Amino acid sequence: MWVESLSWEAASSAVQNQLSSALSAVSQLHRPASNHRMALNTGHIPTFKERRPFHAREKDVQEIKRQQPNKVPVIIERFEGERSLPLMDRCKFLVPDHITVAELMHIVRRRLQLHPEQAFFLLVNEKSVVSNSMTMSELYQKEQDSDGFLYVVYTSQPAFG
Amino acid sequence: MLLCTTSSRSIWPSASALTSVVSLQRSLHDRSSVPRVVDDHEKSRWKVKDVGYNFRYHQNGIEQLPRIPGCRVPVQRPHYKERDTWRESQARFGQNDYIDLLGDGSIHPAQLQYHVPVWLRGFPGQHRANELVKLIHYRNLYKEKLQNNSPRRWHDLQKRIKYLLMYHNYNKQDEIRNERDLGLWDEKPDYFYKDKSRRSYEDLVVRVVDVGMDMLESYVTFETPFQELQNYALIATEGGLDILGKHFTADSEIETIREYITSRLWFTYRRGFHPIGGTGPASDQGWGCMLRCAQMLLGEVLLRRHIGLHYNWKREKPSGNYEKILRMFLDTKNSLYSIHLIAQMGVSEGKKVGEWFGPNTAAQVLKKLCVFDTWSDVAVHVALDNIVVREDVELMATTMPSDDAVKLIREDGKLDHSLIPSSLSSGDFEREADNWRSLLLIVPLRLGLTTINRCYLPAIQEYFRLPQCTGIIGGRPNHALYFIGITGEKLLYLDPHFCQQSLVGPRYIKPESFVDGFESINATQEDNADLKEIDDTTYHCPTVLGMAYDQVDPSLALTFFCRSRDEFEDLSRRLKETLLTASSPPLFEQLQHRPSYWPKFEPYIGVKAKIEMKEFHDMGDPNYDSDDQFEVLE
Repeated sequence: MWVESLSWEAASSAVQNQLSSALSAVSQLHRPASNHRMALNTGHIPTFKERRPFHAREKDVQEIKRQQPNKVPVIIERFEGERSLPLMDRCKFLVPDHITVAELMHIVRRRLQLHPEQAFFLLVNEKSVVSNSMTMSELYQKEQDSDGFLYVVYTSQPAFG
Repeated sequence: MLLCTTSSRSIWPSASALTSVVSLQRSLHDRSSVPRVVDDHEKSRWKVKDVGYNFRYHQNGIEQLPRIPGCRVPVQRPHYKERDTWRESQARFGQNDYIDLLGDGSIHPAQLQYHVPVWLRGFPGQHRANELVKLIHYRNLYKEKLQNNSPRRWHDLQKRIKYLLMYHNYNKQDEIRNERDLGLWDEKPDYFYKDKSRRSYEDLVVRVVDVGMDMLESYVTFETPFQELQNYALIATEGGLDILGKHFTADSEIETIREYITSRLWFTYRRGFHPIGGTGPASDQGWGCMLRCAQMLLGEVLLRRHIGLHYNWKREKPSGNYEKILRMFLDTKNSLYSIHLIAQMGVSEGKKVGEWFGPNTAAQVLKKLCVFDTWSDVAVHVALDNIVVREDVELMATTMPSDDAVKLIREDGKLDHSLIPSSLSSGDFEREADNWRSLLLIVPLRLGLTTINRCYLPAIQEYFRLPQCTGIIGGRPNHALYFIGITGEKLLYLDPHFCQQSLVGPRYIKPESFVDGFESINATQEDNADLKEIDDTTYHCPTVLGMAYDQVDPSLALTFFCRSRDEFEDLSRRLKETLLTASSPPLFEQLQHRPSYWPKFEPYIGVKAKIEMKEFHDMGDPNYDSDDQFEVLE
């Protein structure tokens, strides 16, 4: 009786080993193809500047300014440390230059489907910019990047313990 | 046959040898060569699974004990035990499960741990309290008894405690020496770094000192002992000092400043209150600091509302309005601004009990709680998006909370009736002619991404000069603080990170009466929920603490308090003239009317449907191919 039970345990462990090896074989089969342009599995989402070289960005701006002279090219991205706000599906925006910064903020808020009581801030160059008096063209003149884009970061407030 | 196979193995290659064995076996057992008969009785009767098994249906005598083959001694079996199902522990089994849920809250589940010695019931385990802590606890409880009744044991206990203290200090010395040799020490102490176990050359060798439970616990949890910090608050007195709108000149004495700061209400971590929601945490150490900061803000507001500007603490028995305010912050679910209600109100904001709050969350919770306080009648307005709309503020300040809100919380029985005057209308003060309630204005801000931007420093200095200023709730990263003043580039604050015993809550008393061998459960309970006298010394911070502007976390919330319409007009004039021009860009913006594209403003006046903060869903992975096209916004 004693011996039997021992052997049964051994057998079951053997079966488990087989199973796990089979599973690992399966997982090896389904390993994602690594030919994607970005390494997505690290969790870090590269910023627009990291994705696109400087000269290409510069060319983009020149091109779009030629086509649409009264729009401002804006990159709106989520702050990398942000945890409570959703990502947007794209980051390049053409904003009419007569709308105010507060209006842009409202548009982004609506787009992210935020609750009106949720904290939400737009920052340009580490400064909080919301102003009902400043238009986008003014902001663009003041804060544009060397490649011609205006980089806006959105974020909320972190929690304290 | 055997011969045949062996010989064949020697001649043919192994694969074919295998097939020959198989074919031999088949010739024995397999009858597939026989023409198939559908109704084969013999086949159905002969079951392969029984082959080789010896049925032991009929054996002489009783069954033998199990043995390992070849071994004469039977295998060990468990001893036969007679079960007594009417034993006391069996009879009581499970009778008091859920006492914390179903009971009236008078008994703590830890009191029912009969398998634990009485003095250890509810005491933390090895991971929190080692032998030293445990023995000191025992000594504090039974000191007199031991001295009187068993001096020998008292002597031994003292010896053991002394030994353990030496042991810990000895180990600590080694530890410190090793760390030092490894170069882990810093040049200067960094008191603002979260990891309190990091050391510097300027530190003294920290000794575990026997000062009773409080200090030891802070040693165990690696929180910096509070006293260590107090000498590091140096006051730069070149430009004077501004605390909550009060100016102190450069040559004013440190004692007057300290006195003013000590007079502010100070709420810290507390332990040992009744568990939140019946089964929740009984201490807010480690998670409640933003909630405590919200309490400190509200405490300051209520002092201004009911007593007046610049309250001075008299260090005597609390009475009158001051006592009433203090009672609203006691750690019990019957107090309106207790940690219990703030934490549970956070649930409607999508924060679980025990989760950390941000400044905005704290502000929203205050907005909802203040609706129920008809005695103070404070309207709270949270101005989001960096814009203060005067129209909205006025609407908020002139709208009364609905009666339903107050009724609801009363029927729930959550609110102490003494907190609310009998008539629902405001109690002991006359409302101004235009129904202007006193107003707390909170402006959540983000002044930078990872560090606070220096361009806002002049505006922050200006902020603390406003007479309507009631401080900033913010902190350094992961560490909430309530900022009350500024001197030069150093912000003064009140720190909630200091755990004290709660004034209310279950107390464990040594059981004295044993009746018939049963402990009387109810008699051991002393619950001072209706505390007669409040000892308010733990609600005032004896020390002045300060930190550099650059270490402040960029997320914070400015607060303003206006008791009347005139004060608000004054505030908005001052904002326009000083605060918002002090920095570029301004801290926030003030508008008369709501921008046309904003949705309509609805003042929060009490019960609304529970706000669903839905889990956001990403709009899919960013599509990098779309980098080529712009999206045109209108």
